[in-house]
Amino acid sequence: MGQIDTQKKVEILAEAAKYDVSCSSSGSSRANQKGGIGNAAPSGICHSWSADGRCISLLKLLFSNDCIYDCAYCINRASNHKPRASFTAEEVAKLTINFYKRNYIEGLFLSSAVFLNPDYTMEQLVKTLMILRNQHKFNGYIHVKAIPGADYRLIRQAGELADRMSVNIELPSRESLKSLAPQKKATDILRPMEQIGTDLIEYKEDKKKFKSTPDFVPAGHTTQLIVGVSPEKDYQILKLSEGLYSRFNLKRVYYSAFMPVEPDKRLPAVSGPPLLREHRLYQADWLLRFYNFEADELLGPGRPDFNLDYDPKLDWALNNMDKFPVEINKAGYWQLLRVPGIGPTSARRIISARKEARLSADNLKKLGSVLKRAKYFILCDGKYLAGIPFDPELIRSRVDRDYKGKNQQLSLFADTDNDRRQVIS
Amino acid sequence: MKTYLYDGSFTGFMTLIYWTFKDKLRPAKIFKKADYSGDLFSETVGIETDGELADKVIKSAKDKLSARVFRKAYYAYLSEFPGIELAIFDYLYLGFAYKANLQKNWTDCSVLEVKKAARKVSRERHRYKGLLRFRELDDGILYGPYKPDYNISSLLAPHFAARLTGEQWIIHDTGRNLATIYNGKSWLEISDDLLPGLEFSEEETDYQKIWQEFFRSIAIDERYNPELQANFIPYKYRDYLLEFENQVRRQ
Repeated sequence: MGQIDTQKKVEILAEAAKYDVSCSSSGSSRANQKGGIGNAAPSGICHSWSADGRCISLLKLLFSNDCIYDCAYCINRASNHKPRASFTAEEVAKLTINFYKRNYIEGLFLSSAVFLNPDYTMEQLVKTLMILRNQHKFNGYIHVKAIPGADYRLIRQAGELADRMSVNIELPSRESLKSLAPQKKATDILRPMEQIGTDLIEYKEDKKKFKSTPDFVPAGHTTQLIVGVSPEKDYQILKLSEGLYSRFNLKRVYYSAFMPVEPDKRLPAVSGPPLLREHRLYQADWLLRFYNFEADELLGPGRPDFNLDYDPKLDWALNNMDKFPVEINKAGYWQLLRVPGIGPTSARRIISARKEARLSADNLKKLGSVLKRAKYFILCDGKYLAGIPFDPELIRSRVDRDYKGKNQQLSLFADTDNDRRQVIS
Repeated sequence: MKTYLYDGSFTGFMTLIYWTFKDKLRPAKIFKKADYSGDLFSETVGIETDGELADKVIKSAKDKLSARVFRKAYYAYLSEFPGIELAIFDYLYLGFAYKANLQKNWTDCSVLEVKKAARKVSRERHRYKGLLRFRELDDGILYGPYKPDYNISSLLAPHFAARLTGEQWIIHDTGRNLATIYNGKSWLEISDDLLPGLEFSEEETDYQKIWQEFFRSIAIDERYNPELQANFIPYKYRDYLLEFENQVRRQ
């Protein structure tokens, strides 16, 4: 009987949790202990991919969807007529263990709507984690939400049990928050993020002195922003992310293309989620974290949105042709990284391989660089490989031609029409 | 030019490396005995598998070339690609004889071939860390059937032994008819005709149903994109995945 009941709850509470995009299980190397079950793989492991092509790594559930708040963008808002359900802590723990030992999942992602009040909600999450870690000796990956407005002592307790925590900002400015989520206060969201960021550093320092210091969210903390529900431009969103990385010691910012869950007069009318815009933001986010770009290099007040035709790095390169061409046999790591078609892996390989022998165009291809894109921006032993003169106008038209054909084949992030049509009134 | 034959085990292959290096002879071809049908013109040498000599080769490869370089050779071997043994011979020979830095070499043919094969095996190993599905049998044993392209069971076993330490489990390579069994302490490989009968536990079907329900519920309909899904999880992997059994798309 219990199983049937659990199945119904999973249906409701997984459905309600699916708009949280984060499903990463990386960054933690928690080891198994004697008599325990599970460990965490630093690289993270995907266990399946759902029909929308997103990775399933964690058992993603809401503890409850019975929310006291009424945020316009959210499927679980109080005024939405949806079936409501809540788990018990024991139920979630048992399900996690049984899924885990069958190798369905890498661990648990536990979030919740705010029921009764933030403290009570957070207590239930902590209780679930304690049962998993202490009773079942579960050492797999756990990602848990910090509930905005909950007592920080509860959040800290959760942080000592989990591998990763997150607080979702959702709306990229105070004004949007006020109009779309009037019961949530910006400070309730930002304060725990700041405290988690500070604790991360302090626990690490303490651990150097006292070995008994517990790990505190070893895989870091993250947040999520909804794209296309409020009038912020890409520039504003990217600046916000940049600030979050540097000020709160954040591991990642996730972006979620807004899809209208139920009509609400406070929301813009859109025909579909702006998936390409979301994709461009992720690309730019990568440039911030791994390529040493700054938000102001990519966009500015005069050019507040990404070019939907090219990826942000290619777009940057085309607008900064004075920095090219770059000599492959001489350029430093960070300079190589800025060449379209060369990523961290091939940049590292180029640097290690050229110590053995000078690189020719042929070698370069073997090392895994995408020569088709890179050729316009590099010299190989003094030779320009593109087969045309180095002329910015000509290059732009060639890149245009290469890219147009490719975009038509690439249906993964199609929907450009929706992206373009989406005008916020 | 001689054709070398070995018994088909990695130990046998390492013994072959020992003798050919010692005699400074590059084989024309290397075959597993079972795969060799013989031809008129080449002279064949049969290698007698010797555990001690094989260990010598492994130890010196790890010491002199590095554990990572040796691991690449082992992974490449597990690909079972035709002709990969000869590439591994050249790869190791380059390392031992010319003291070439194999990790930084990205231009030599045999080095590239070994690295490429090793990378494929390593990727499949990583993939199946996530894609293997266990079913609980009535005696509590977890049973995970799968059909990998490469011979990766010996690479998956340590992963699951560290993770499901207190459980007993079987990883069954149905293509090679090999079963890797773990009894709660150590694991070993046996032929699959020695496996006992397989009956599911009482709870097993319930959990499979909940998992299938979860898998359906977690997808966002507005982002439905089966091509993207198939890019990540090609159809050949789906035969043993419970979540793809009688999957009907919800309207």
